[in-house]
Amino acid sequence: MKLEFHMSFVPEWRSIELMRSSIESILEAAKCDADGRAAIAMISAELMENAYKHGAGGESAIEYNLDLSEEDVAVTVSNQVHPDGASKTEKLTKTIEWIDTFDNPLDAYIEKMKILYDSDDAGAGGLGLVRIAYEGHCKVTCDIDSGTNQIEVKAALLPGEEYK
Amino acid sequence: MSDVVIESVQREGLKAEVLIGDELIVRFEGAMREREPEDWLAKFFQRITGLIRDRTVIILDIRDLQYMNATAFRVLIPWLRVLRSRPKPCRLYVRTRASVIWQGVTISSLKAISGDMITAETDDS
Repeated sequence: MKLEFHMSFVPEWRSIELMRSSIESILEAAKCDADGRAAIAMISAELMENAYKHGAGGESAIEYNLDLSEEDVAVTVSNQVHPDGASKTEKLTKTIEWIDTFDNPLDAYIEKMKILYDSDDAGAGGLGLVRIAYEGHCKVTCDIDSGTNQIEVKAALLPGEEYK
Repeated sequence: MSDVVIESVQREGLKAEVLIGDELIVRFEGAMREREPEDWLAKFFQRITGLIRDRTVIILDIRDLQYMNATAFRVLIPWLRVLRSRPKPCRLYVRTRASVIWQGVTISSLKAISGDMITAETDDS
């Protein structure tokens, strides 16, 4: 199976759910198994939600890419950073670095949930990225082009992992 | 005693209900994917807490919840602490559906932080 899907869209919040359910349908048509469909749709939705929340807004588009083959899965979402979004971008990169400090994503996920469990701050962010790492079995990376002020967040299936 | 719906909230793509009969049941149907669910969802959980009285079990039925984003999930997590810290700690029986894949993964992760207060009952359909 090989699937490449690209879409550029000016987001509305409700379009993210449409994208999530559409991606799940596309994957079903491509004979992707149920675990893979659920994981990739979740990864896609969480990344698009982040891009929507922290992006430049207005008519600025979100670029969505899905590359799927027998061995590799990569979901990439890129968008223009909001002019006042430097602190959010820094928070995102720090969360990714924090996830990487754990031996495995489950430990990071549980630690993040413990932080939320012990806190009244439901606004504390980062759970989506950790969820992608653990539930999606992915390595999350991000690349920021300071020249164009574009951020690209990529979730790629970890080597040796597969959706059962 | 038959279950009576005593609370019902309709959001875009989501229905949330509280039923009381022999058990206190919280049921979600649809998809929980709002951008900022904190306000209504935290208050919804708060109202449920007020209905617990001397009960020690709540049934959380998410079998028909097709998706829950992390934003909503992080509102659920602190509520577990509230349930656990009651004078009579409350246990959560979570009804899940095997065919809705995210539920099994997410609830088993939740059990890792909340110990024996969560029991998952999985419907094979």
